[in-house]
Amino acid sequence: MKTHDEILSAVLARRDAYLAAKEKRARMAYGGVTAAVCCTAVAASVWLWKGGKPDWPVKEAPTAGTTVTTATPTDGFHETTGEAETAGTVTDAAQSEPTHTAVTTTRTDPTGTEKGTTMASTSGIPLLTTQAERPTTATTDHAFGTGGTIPPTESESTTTQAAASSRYTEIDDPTEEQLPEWFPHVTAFEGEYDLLPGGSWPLGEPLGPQDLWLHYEGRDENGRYVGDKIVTATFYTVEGWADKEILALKFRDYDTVLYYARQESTDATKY
Amino acid sequence: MDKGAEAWRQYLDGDDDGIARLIAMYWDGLVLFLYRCTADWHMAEEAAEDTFVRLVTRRPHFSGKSSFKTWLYAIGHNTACRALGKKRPLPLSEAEAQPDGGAELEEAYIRDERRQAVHRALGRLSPDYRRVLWLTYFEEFSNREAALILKRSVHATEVLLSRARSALKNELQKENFQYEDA
Repeated sequence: MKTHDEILSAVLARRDAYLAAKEKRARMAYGGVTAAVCCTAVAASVWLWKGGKPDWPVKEAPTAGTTVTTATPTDGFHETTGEAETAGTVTDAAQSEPTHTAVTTTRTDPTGTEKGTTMASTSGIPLLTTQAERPTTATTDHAFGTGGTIPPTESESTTTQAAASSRYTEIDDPTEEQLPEWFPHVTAFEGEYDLLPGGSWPLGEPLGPQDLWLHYEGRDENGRYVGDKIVTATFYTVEGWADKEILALKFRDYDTVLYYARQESTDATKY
Repeated sequence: MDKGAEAWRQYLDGDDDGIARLIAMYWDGLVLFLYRCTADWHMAEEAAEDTFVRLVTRRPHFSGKSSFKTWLYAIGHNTACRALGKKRPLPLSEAEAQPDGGAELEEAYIRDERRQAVHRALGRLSPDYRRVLWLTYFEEFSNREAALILKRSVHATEVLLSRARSALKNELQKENFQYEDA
């Protein structure tokens, strides 16, 4: 059994290692991770940082006026309905930071009907879909889970969300206990990192799709701390599940969706 | 002022003695509580350490809506739950046999013989019962505080507590323990 002094030493040593790793990440930050937050109410990128380098090939970013082919919409909420690989034209490019350009791509189906927009960054990673392509009816048996129904999301207007945000109280750290039964029980990321949510739990913010920072703490096979990883992901709000607000996080390049719940306060009204 | 909150403020102000004070104040109780959650001494100690690491690295905001101890235990409980998601805990009887100092810690923490008897009986109850009884009986948290830590409603906690007490009573009666209803 450790003495309190030994525990204190261990805790402070891990803190120092964490801070050193954090500083290193800040120095080596690639592509302006923080700029991902600027992607307004539209879904943005999932960025993964490890040793200052992305874990996937970086592509050329589309620029305004060019035609691009978008990736298959895989926002996790619904199966695609045939518009995969739909071509679109970049209609706007907003320079958010020198190293990160947010590009809005209008998506159309083969008949020319607009299907919403996607957001891309300079790295070409993102291409998550907007709410326009999200389902307006409940769907079941998603690829990411073991079944269950996700409530409709059509009520997610910004106004509603902003008003709703005050109805919630914070859960310090959402736990699996608070998750619905259909939670796919994803606790590992790339098999070796455990999620430590809550670092940037965006309380008080509108509840539309937005970026969320996640902190993963790496552990070796013996469960010992080996390092950290910071990921930004997009979360969507899926309202009205029991007495909780369910947040869904989609990691686009990984077949992974995470859910967190935030409980209503006692004076909450029904959805 | 809440001594825990005071020590936490001291740490946030840049004085590591603050975290040393928190460890001195809460480590033993937290480990024992997390043991009630995990049924594994090693996991409990590790979860307790992780809890303090989370405090010192992420410096979360303590709103003061609850006592600092309640807040700390809630974070510890969440940490242990995550750890449990990865690893299956040992059956309690097996875990208790581990010679790693846990028993001494318990004895030091629970000096009263009568409470020790209750504590032994806890080991035969379900995890939910163990947790809620530990919090309310040994740590003397209010029902509301226990509810906060366990992330349950107060009503659900009270129902759980009532059932846990009945189960505990049955266990104690098997040992001819003189049970006094609260």
